[in-house]
Amino acid sequence: MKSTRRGRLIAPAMTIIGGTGLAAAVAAAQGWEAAIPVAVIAVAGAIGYYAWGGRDSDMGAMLGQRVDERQSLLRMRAQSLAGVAGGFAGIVGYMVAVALKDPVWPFVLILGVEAAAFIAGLAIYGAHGAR
Amino acid sequence: MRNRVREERTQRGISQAEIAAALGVSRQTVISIESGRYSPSLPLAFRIARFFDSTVDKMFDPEDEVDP
Repeated sequence: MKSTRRGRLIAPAMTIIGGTGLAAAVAAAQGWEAAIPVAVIAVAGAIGYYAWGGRDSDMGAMLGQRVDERQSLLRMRAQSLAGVAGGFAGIVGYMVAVALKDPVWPFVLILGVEAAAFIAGLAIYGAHGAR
Repeated sequence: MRNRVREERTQRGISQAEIAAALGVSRQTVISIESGRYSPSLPLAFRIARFFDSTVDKMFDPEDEVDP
């Protein structure tokens, strides 16, 4: 399948945007010197994603935004597993925070977003009737 | 699901990359279909059958499952 340059740029662009946000947060908290490694890692990651996105592999197709039906199913299953793992980690984190009397709101936020996303998914993808 | 894709392809001397391009899927997906690890969607199954001037029921055998 052919790769489009725009599709191949999405993953690197998201990496740069996320890395810039994280670097800005680190700079605000610890100074700009501490943010430099974060920015360097983000740029390196973006370059790596761009290169990987051009490869003739399932991962390359996913990063290059040119998946076919099998790769789309593969990505969906992996995302589902990641979602379940994230929810499990949120529950464990919540229990640990309660036991240590630490703030629980980050875990409540994670679990709330997971639950809301699941309900939204049922609504968007038609749990009340096949589409 | 067992199928005749590899058999038909090799008989006609077509590469996996060529059939992948013709069907609009990746080479990895053609490999997965040929090995029986992936059962194509109905639209793709029809495209495969048409590509080989055959029919879906001649190309695919749902009674003969391949262990994953």
